[in-house]
Amino acid sequence: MSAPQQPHPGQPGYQAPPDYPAPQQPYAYPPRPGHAPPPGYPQPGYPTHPGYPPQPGPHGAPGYPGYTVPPPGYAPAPPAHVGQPPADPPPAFVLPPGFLAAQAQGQPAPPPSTGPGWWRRNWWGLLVIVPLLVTALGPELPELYRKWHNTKPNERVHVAGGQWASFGGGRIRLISLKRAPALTTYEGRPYTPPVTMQIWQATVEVDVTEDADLEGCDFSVADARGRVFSASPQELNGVDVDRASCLRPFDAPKTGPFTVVATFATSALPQGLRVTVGTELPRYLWLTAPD
Amino acid sequence: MRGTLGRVGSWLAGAVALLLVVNVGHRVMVFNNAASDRERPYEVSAEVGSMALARTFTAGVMSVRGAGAIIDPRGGNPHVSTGVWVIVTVRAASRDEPVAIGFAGLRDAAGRVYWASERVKQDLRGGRTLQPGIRVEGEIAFEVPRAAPSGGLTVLLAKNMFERRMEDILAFKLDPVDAATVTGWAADKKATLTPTKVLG
Repeated sequence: MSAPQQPHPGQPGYQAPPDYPAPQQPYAYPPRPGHAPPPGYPQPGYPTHPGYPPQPGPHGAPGYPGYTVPPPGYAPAPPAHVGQPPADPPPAFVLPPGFLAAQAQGQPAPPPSTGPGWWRRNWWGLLVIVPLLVTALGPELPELYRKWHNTKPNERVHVAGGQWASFGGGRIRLISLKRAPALTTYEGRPYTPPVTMQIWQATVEVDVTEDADLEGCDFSVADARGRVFSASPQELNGVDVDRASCLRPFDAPKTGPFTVVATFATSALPQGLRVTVGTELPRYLWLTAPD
Repeated sequence: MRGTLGRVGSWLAGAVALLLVVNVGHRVMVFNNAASDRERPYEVSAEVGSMALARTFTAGVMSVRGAGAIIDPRGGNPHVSTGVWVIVTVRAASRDEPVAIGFAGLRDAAGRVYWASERVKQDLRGGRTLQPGIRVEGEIAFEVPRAAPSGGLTVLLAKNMFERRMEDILAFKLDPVDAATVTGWAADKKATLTPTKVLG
């Protein structure tokens, strides 16, 4: 004795198995006019599972407002169940406003709602980027700043009018900054600089004790554009000038101030004297001569 | 329940995709040996006879000559080359603060770079501190194979001798030199380098 043959899906009399899964929520939405139902959506003629809404074709479904005839290509709808009221559609099954009216007038359906935009859906992720960047770069910033700022003469300490300045464990002041007088070479011949070059000399008084940081000072002058010219340049090779230093000369008094003359080759008028000491960076002295 | 799991799954998939993108990007960079390429110097090309601006100095190649041997003014035997000496006249000045030309090189057509020779005293390369606005002119000598000048050479000048990553480098392309000229250069065994001088 053989078991009665089960009709195929789509044939009258076919009963869905009891554990037939309800279609996924997105598929509960009626297909757009002229489009085939998505996969998983019950085909026309397929008996609905209890609680599942009837097939809502483009022209509506039997028992629902707007139903006329099955859409082209759809199988004829099965006869309505007698004595069994149609189940109420679940809350998710809601036709968009104006859908049926638009269908009746032959107009395209209004576009479905797209929900919140990308920026609104990801606002917190975008917000998190800011603290993430700060966390990633923040610890390095002090070191980067130190390398950029603290290892170069960036903080000017201005001492005007030939006054004494305490710096690097000693004292220093600018007595004068003038065009150099006639210079000679080491052989005693007069030295005439090229017309593109000016020779300037800064006379400085230094009062420094032994082993003070100021002993390692460097002299330079700067013009109005901030261009810096170093002392004792190679442009003056062979010219009889002193090499400027804050070291106490061997023939100077053991204590008290001594005089240093620094010579510069410039292409413009110098505005003042810069004194830099490695241990004092980023501070440097900016000395201007008395009027 | 499934909605929550779905969202978590989507985020996990997104995170995995992000990691994959970063990983692939890193591998592409490694594959391209990008460290030397990504941080390569910024090359500023200029014609021979004109000045070019680097970040800290300005310079130009004025002329080129060659020799088979260079006599050191400090004495000793001439520095004979089994290739040929290429001697370029360079004019330079700093822009804002004292600076030296720490690197001078000669690049041949195959991309090989010959550094300024250490066999002879090079005043302008490395040993000369340039002052702002004061132009000096001197010579830099390179020792290259005799076939190199015929393919065209490029003079390279930069501030730093070693650390030239992401630093600008001036490039002056020299005209190719025929073999007869190179042979003539090599025959000169008494060349001397002109001392660097301030231009008037």
